[in-house]
Amino acid sequence: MLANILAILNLVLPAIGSIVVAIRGKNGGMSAVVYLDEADAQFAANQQQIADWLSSKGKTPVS
Amino acid sequence: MKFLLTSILVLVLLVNVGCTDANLVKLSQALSDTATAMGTLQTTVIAANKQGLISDTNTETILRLCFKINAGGQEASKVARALTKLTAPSSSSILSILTPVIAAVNDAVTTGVLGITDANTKNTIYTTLVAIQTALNTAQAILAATGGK
Repeated sequence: MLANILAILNLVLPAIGSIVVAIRGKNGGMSAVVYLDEADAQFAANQQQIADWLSSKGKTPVS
Repeated sequence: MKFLLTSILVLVLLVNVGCTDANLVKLSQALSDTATAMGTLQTTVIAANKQGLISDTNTETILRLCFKINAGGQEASKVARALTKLTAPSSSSILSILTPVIAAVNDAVTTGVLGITDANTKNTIYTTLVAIQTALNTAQAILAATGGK
């Protein structure tokens, strides 16, 4: 059982590495999807920060 | 096992094919830069509010403006995520989302940062707003260069 798992990992891990390399664009730059993931996460955090501040002040939330 | 390896290979190819448009990468980076600068701006404003350097009223005005900018950025990101290449119609679509956002930021910069009286706070916020303006102008230039109207 363990040998099977190790065999699978041996095959899968290099492929995952290739995906990571592929996601990084040429010249080591990041691809569009990585930047968009970063942007989305940050925009969502920003909106939550605003909602939290408005809530703490008893202000009308932004709809 | 063959199926697994084939799936991974196809995924690698899709990632390569789907993410090589240089303009789309630049636009995505500009959106990411905008989001980061917005985070800095909001954190600065809220910290200044806690210190009593910006009134609740002014803080609320700025944060509601920030909300609109963030929402525009999220919308632009959603459109960009579905693309593999920027074309004239897709650039026009994203430009129509970002144009009012850019106008709002430009207005905030030119109107003396919304009535903030503390000089240091005003300067910090102004600098961050200019960084946001620069990132959005970069996005606008890319969209215009790819046929956006």
